[in-house]
Amino acid sequence: MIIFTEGKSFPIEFQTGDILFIAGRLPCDRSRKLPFEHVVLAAENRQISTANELLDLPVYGMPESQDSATNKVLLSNGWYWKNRSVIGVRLGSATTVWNLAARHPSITLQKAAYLSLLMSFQEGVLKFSYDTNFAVDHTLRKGIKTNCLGFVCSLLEYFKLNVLSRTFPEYESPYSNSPGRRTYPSPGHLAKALTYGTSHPYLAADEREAEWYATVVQTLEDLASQARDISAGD
Amino acid sequence: MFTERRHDQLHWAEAYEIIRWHSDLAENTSDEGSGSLFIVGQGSFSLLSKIPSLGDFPFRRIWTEYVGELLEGSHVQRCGYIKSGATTFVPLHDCWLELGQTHVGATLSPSLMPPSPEERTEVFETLISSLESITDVEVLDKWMNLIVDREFEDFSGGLPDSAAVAIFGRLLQLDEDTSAKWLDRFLSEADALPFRPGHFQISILGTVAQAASENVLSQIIVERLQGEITSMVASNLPKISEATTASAAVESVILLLQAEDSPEAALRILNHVAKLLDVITKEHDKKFFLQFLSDSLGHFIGAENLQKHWLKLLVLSKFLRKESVLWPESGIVSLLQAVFVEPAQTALAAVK
Repeated sequence: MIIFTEGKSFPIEFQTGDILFIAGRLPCDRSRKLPFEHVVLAAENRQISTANELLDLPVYGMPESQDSATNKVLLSNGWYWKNRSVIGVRLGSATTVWNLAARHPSITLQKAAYLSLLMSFQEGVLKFSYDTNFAVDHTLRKGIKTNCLGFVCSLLEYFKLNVLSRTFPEYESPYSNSPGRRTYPSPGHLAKALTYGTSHPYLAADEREAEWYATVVQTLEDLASQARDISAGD
Repeated sequence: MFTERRHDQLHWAEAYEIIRWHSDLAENTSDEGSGSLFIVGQGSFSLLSKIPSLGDFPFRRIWTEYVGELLEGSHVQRCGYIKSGATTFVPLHDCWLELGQTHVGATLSPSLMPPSPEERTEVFETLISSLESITDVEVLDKWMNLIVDREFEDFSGGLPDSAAVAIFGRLLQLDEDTSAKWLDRFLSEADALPFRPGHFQISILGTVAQAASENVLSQIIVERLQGEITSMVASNLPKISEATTASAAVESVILLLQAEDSPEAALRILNHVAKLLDVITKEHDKKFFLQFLSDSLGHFIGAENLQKHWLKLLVLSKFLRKESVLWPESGIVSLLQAVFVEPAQTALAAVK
């Protein structure tokens, strides 16, 4: 497991396949909906010592919207996100920030080196395209429409790493750009599943748990709270 | 309004007015207004006019204002297209860039690049967004040159790799000579290019493999790749990088996908893979190569189209065995195991 909370835990050894989130910023304000959160996969093994270096780290993810017509995975980095406004929110602002990363325990250094090249191949051939809904294709061949979480889960499931249940108890979306009720997981559920070592595939016990952990920033809040408790205990 | 007869006398201001008019029309009605400059034919506009008085400034103005309106508008259904050369104005075609419910698009020649970084980036993003509708090889070639020569680097702080891969993929569909030229440069100058060395080449080869799977790969490119592999086999390197090994695997996949399914072709591919395995000396590296071969083949061949490549895969199953790769649960190995290896083992056991 890797924990990064706004630069407090450097240096970090990233490896390919590590999962990075653009998440809400602490303190977690549950009274307001977040504009969105985003999840991507690190594309290289690299030691990161500063926040700017973190923004340099190449990552693979779904194009962030239907405007991106390349219909393939997109190699970008944190600067790409920081420099643009999405649905009226400037990334890196007080609302959203790169602030949590996680690693599936099965992705060893050897597998990460392989995954790095396999994702490059996928960049040339993958026919996924963006959609707000969550879908998973463990074969990577079907050209499905899916969101950023669906892309990451598809890559993981290709290697038989089934982290999330495909369907969830119905809950209220925490995001203002895709409001309404949903029955599929959100990025926060991936963060929880990887960070707390819950059994996989993770399925929220009920609507309350599904809603509570839907945002990545909730897991970040829990981690920060644990750190404060440990610090107070000392 | 303006009609086709007047196009060769158009002044830039008139052209601008036409664009304005078209934009207004599209915003106010879904009627396509047959007979107007922009609505000739269904879905495809030909070269209609040359406007000698049009210079860089008006083009930029047109682009900035018109495309700006297109991108911000919500009801525009057609677009204009401004082509290479400062004096050629080419209303072109339906574009399909989706913005919610809207289908719009536009692009601009690199020779008319706007001065400000924001505008340049906007032009570039529009180009990438409407890539599938662009048929002008010259424009794509120019943009690729700008990216490769680092004359355009405004990727919003991001990386140029995905854009170059996308443009190359489109060139592969449009023009074999231009795509072969770029493939040659990408493979021969990996360290001098503004892309991640090794990784970018694998992405490009993936795009070529995709074209091979769709039967649109030219013989020029196939020969180029055969030469690449021959040279690798002949080089007898003491150590081959994982990126080179992976590239060799994808090149093998390309050769397999484009070959007919005959005993001769199957044996040719078998010998080709055997030679590569001879060059790769370490046992782990051999497994790495076969794993990448398995995964990249598995992207194109499944149970539903196995029949099309039956003989080639039957022969290759000599190498693609679960004990020969790193992770047999992924890629085509598991399919070959179920289709060829296990039935053969069962049959042999019954004979004994």
